[in-house]
Formats: sequence, C-alpha cells, structure tokens
Amino acid sequence: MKKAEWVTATIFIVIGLMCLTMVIIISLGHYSTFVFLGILFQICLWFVIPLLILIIMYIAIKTYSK
Amino acid sequence: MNLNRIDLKLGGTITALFLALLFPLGFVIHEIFSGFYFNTVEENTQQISSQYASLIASNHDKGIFEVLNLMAALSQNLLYVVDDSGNVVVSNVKYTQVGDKISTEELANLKKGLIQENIYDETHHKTYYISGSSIFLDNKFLGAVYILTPIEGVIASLEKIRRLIFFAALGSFFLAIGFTLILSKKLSYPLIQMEQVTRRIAKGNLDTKLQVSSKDEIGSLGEAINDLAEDLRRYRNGRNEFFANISHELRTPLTYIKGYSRVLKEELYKSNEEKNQYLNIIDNETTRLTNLISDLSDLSMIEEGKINLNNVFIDVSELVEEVYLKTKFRAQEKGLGYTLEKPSEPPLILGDELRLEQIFINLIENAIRYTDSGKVSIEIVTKQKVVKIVIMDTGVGISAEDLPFIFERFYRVEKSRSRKYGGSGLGLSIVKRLVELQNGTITIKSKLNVGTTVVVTFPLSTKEGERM
Repeated sequence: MKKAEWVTATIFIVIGLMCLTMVIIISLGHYSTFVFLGILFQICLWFVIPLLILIIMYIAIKTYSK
Repeated sequence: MNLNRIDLKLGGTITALFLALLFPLGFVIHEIFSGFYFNTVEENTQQISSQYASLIASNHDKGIFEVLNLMAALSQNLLYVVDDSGNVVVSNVKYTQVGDKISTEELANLKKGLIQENIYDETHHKTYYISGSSIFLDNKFLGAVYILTPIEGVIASLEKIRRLIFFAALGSFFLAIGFTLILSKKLSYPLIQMEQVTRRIAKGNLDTKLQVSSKDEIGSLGEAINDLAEDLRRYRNGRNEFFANISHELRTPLTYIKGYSRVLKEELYKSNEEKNQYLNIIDNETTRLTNLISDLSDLSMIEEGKINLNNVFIDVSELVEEVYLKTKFRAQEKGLGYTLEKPSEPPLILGDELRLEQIFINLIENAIRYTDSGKVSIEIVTKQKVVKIVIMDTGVGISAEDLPFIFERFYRVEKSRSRKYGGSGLGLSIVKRLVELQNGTITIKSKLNVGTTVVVTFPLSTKEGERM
C-alpha cells in the first residue's frame, strides 16, 4: 500500500470515529474533553472486542487442528 | 482512472454489502424507538380513559357528568365524554364542543366495547393521541370517555433519534470505508503481484520468482505459478539444447560424408585400400545419420502420442533369448563373457513385440558396447506379479553425478564416448518412454569403472487377458 492510501484510510477511520463519538455526546447533552475521550475509548473498545474474539477463535481453531 | 481493478471491485462490493446491511438496520432501530415511545403514550392514555370510564360507571347516579364537567374545566387532562346516543356531554377540548356528535360507526364500536384510537393533528401543529373507552353499567352502554395526550414531545424525540441514527450510520460508513480501503488493498495485493509476475513470465522472463507468504489457496496458486515458470524454463532450455544437439549430431556425419566424398570425387587417395577406407567411413556415417533420424522420428512419435502399440501376450523370456542370440556374435567379437538365465515357467506380459525387441536390443547392445572386458549377463526373474529383466555388465559404468540424467535426450556421460562407441544419445530416452508406455519401469544402478545394472520390470499377465 502506498503512503497516500494509508493516509486516506486513516482519515476515513478518524472521521468515522469522530462521527460516532459526537452522536453519543449530542444524545448525552453535555460536553467535556474528558467525556469525549472516554466515549472515544469505549467505541474503540467495542470495535476491538469482536476482533479479539475472532483472533482467539482463530488461534483456538489452529491449535485444535494441530 | 482504471475502474476495472480487483481492489476497486472488492472494496465496492464490501461497501455495497455494508450499506445494504446499514439501511435496514437503521430502519429497524428507528422502528424500535418509535414503537417504544408510542406504546408508552398509548398505554398511559388507555389506562387513564379506562379509569375514567370505571369511575363514571360506578358513580353514574350521583350526577357524575356535572362533577366531570367541573373537573374537565379545572383539569390539565384533555377529555370529552359522550352519552349513549353519541352526543358530547362534557368537554374541555377546543375542537369538540358540548352538543357535538361522534360518528355512527365509532358509536357502534364503542357499544361493542372496543377501545377507539385516533391521532388528531390540530392546525397549530399540536398532535394528540386520543383513546376512547366505553362506559358500561350492568352490561348497559352509558357512553364513552375520550382522553387526549399531546404527542409533539414524542415526535420531536423521534426526530432527534432519527438524526442521531443517521449520523451514527454516517460514522460507521466512514469507518467501514477506511477499513475496506485497507482490506481490499491487502487482499488484492497477492493477486495483483501474481498478475504482474505472470505477465513477466509470459514475456519470456522465466527467472521471475513470486514471493509466497501465505499457506492458503493464494499461496498455493503462487507456488503453482513458480513451478510453472520453472517448468517452462526447463522446457525452453531443453528445447534450445535439443536443437543445438540435433544440429551438432547432423552436422558431424554430414561433414565426414562431404569431406570424404570430395576426396573420392577429386581422386585424392593414393591406393584402392585408402579409397575403400573412405567409402567405409561414408557408409558408417550414413548409417549413423539414418539411425539418428529414425531415433528422432521414434522419439517425436512417442512424445506426440502418435505411436500405436500392437499389444499381445508375449513370452518375455523367449523374446529376450532371441535378442540374446542376435547380439551374441558382438559380445564374442569383443571377447566378453555372455550369459542368459531364464525361468522354467514362461513369463507372459502384454506388450508390443517389435517395441519390446527394440528396448532389449538397445539395452543389451549398450551393455556390450560399453564393456571392453569382463562379461555381460542377462537374467529374467519372476517375482510376485512382475517379471524383471536384469542386464548386468562389467563395463565403464556411469558416475553418480551423471546417473540422474542418462534418460534425457542427447545426454552423454562424456562427449568423447559418442565417437568412440557410437550411438545417437537418444536410445535410452526412447527405451524409457517405450517401457513406460507398456506399463513397465526401468531403473539403472551403476558404478564408474565397475559396471552397470539395468532392471526392466513389467507386470505379468495371464492368457485370459488379466493382469496377475
């Protein structure tokens, strides 16, 4: 992958995360940097959880098949 | 910009799939929220209208309508009450005045005890949910109570939720686009690499190697491309070598023939004996040329699959004995020991007699040709379901380095051997292919300056045409 492609992909991901965080901030009705970062962290966590599950399943299947 | 690209197609498909899932999901979430909010309002309103209906029924004789009228004037709740004829008797609602009449159909439904539900939108954008409950006393229909609940708040909340869902979907879409971009590039990269490498191979750059990193089907495909390139490279080198060998093999006898025929034509010889010597050379070289062309023809027919085998049941020991007798004088000429051992029972195999004879003549003549002293022995052994023809000699032998290549076309252990011992360099190549065509195998063991052992194995057959 070229550098420009990495940059484009990263911009899209950051915009996506900002959108999701702002949606929660708007629905909560109050804003602070601490709340913003907390929500951003939680969204990232929710994103990582399925990936972690898939990785664990992959490792388990590979170990079992060996 | 080239749109016909695998990464674009892959990315587009993933994005389209994501959108196809996102839209219905958004709709479902919206409907869940709408249902939840409206159900709460409906349940509350119906509960209040039922309570009012029960209150009126239990206090009907005590001038409840007058009390209700007073209550309606003071109450925050919007309500109106109709009597058993459908006339409005109590109301604090602007659009329904005392004395108005509800529709006959609505009245009929109320008499059946059915709860009436309406959404009323006033001109000032005030929207109400209306629930009407029937008033029954000893199964007698007395009228109905209508309760109105404003639902602008619910509609505004739903509008806000709709907007939030849209932005959440937009955020998810951007996130998906970002990851799809990386994923499509990463997934399509090996295919693009393969395409580029294959194009380079197709242009003749056969030394190109593909870096295979995965062990899945893509990795297997990459390895197959590498193998194919290797095969092509070997084939190209083989072909070039083959043409070079043919030119060399044809040119050498032709040079002899041309040279000596000129000597004869210009009468450059000194005696008749010398003349005969030159004629012999021309004759030998012509024979050599004929044999070479015949071998080439055989080989090309075998390789193209155009050779027709007339397969019959043959007593292989009888056939080998015939070859033994035909070649005996050559061994005797060289003063070699020459023996044949055959089994008592005739071993039958299914094969082409002429081609089998060609195989054994070639192998036995080779053994005699490359043995200067000692002996050549032939042994026929039947073992389980096969017959083995073992040809052993005490000749010059073949080194371990040369042994794997001796079945290759024009391969010679030493270039000088071809002049000394003759042969086209195609004999063993033809023999191997003929043996394999008749379901046999051939193996060679050899040690330099000790001797060579050739073992030809064929499956045994019965007269009934079955393999044993």
